[in-house]
Amino acid sequence: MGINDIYKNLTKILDEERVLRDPVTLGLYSVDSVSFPTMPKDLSEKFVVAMPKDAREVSEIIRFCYKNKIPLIPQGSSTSLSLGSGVISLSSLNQLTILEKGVILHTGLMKRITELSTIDRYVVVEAGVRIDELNDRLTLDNTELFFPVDPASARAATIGGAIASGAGGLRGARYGTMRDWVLALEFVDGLGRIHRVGCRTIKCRQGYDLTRFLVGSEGTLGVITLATLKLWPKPKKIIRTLYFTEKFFEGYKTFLRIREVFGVPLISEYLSDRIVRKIYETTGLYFGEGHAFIIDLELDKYSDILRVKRDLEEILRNESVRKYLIAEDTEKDFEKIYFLRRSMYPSTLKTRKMKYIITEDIVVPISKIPEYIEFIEKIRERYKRDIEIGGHLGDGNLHPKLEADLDDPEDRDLVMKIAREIVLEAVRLGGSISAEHGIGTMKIGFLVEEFRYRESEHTIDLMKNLKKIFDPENILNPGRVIPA
Amino acid sequence: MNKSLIDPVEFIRREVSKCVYCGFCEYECPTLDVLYDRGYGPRGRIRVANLYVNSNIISKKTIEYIFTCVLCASCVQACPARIDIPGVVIAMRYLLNNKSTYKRFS
Repeated sequence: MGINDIYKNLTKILDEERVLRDPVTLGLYSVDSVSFPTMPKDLSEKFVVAMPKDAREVSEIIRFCYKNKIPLIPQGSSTSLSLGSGVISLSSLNQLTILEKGVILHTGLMKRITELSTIDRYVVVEAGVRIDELNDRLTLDNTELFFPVDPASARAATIGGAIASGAGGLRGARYGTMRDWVLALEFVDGLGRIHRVGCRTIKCRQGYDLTRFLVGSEGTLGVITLATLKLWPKPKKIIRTLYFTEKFFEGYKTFLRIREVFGVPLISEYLSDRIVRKIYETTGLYFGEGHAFIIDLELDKYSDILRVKRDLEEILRNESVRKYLIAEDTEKDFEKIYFLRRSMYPSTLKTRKMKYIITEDIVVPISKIPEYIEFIEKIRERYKRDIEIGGHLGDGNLHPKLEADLDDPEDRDLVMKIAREIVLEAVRLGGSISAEHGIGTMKIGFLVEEFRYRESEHTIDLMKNLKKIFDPENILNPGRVIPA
Repeated sequence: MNKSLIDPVEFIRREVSKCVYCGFCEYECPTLDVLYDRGYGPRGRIRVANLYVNSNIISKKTIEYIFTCVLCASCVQACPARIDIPGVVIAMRYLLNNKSTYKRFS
């Protein structure tokens, strides 16, 4: 079926103004954060954007796509870091390719918060609500509750997209990831059937746990339209600490000591000395030099703040800590320190010497982090390539960032080789190739290698069979998560 | 606009190259709040400008997206790359108002 017929049929399901096919408009919806620097030409002969308002409309669109075998790309706010929501994908041959044709299903109009229970501590939200938007609403309603999963993109990321990508965030060690907070889901499978799974309660035994199965499925098993999320009481008080050390290991040891004394911190972030320098160069933000560690401690209303500060200072007053700063959530430095962390990605991007930055998303057990950081330094030396590293110390999730020129076939091959070494080392240390960004298109090959390493290659076949049950015509986000 | 002071195309190219498509700006935008698609938000407008100056992709939508911005600059504070988004919109308006440019899509 040609794109004109697809457009005509979609306008029978949705009002005309919710089916978009202008070439400029498609230029906005066809990319995600990774594929953004590439410049696809006019895509209006290949794709249309559909903007449904509810599960019934999503169901009708999928039924139409199922009948006519048209690929469908579900999309939230396009902040995927693994090529999961745009039309550009990376084939197994490391070639950048554009999907042949399809319908981009944008969930941005599903924006209602339909139910909130402060006693039961849950909220029911549509897929297009942004995470920060949800938290702002909870604050406006004076609920004293919040939704704690906070990917760095929370200002933009939608609930649907965050569930589909299995997002984590800075508070991962303390509060887990999306899979720990989704109580129930409404989703539409590849046949257009609307499913409602899960409960409004924490305890729930409802046959197979399809709710969690959908978390992290990256739009390949169903389109999430509505989610029931668990809420939690807001921290009463947060104390933020920033400290610098000359060597990573010294700062890491201090972090372990803080964790031992105060329990799991709310956030515990690491930025390498080079990243700290780059942030200074690009934003002018200066706190100190060396490897930076940002630790947030969550206090309840009965905590003695002065005592916490005193104990914290006692740990930080050791010879390996060059400089430290402690700020309460009412102080100016509190936000400034957070801005330092938020500037990590934009600053590495601004100071890049090559066209692209590839952000990896590995995870290793916390005890293996020093070994892994040492390994990255060796790789950096061996290949003479700019690789920056930072990430979430508290859960072992690190984000090595590699500079690359994906348009140059020679460099693309080399960078894929380096990326492969970087992620497989994480697997060797007992970790995994992805912690929170998802597999998308970029990491399918690595996923296969991880299972091979675990002598469990047949698991991929199991996944493929499961996908067939949910999506027999392979129309939902094809070419993502598992190999074809 | 005095060309010796600033070249709008170069200015747009410089500013749009800083965008990483993170979308933080969208939450702040009053026009995206009431209009349907991404083009009516800052991230969209930056991308539209990018498509125009770097790939020469332009349509009637380009005008709609660029001329519906109210230049409130709420997005600037939210942008981690501190892109001069209103500046890009103004420069785009200048280019689109230029007759020779306008002919190409009217």
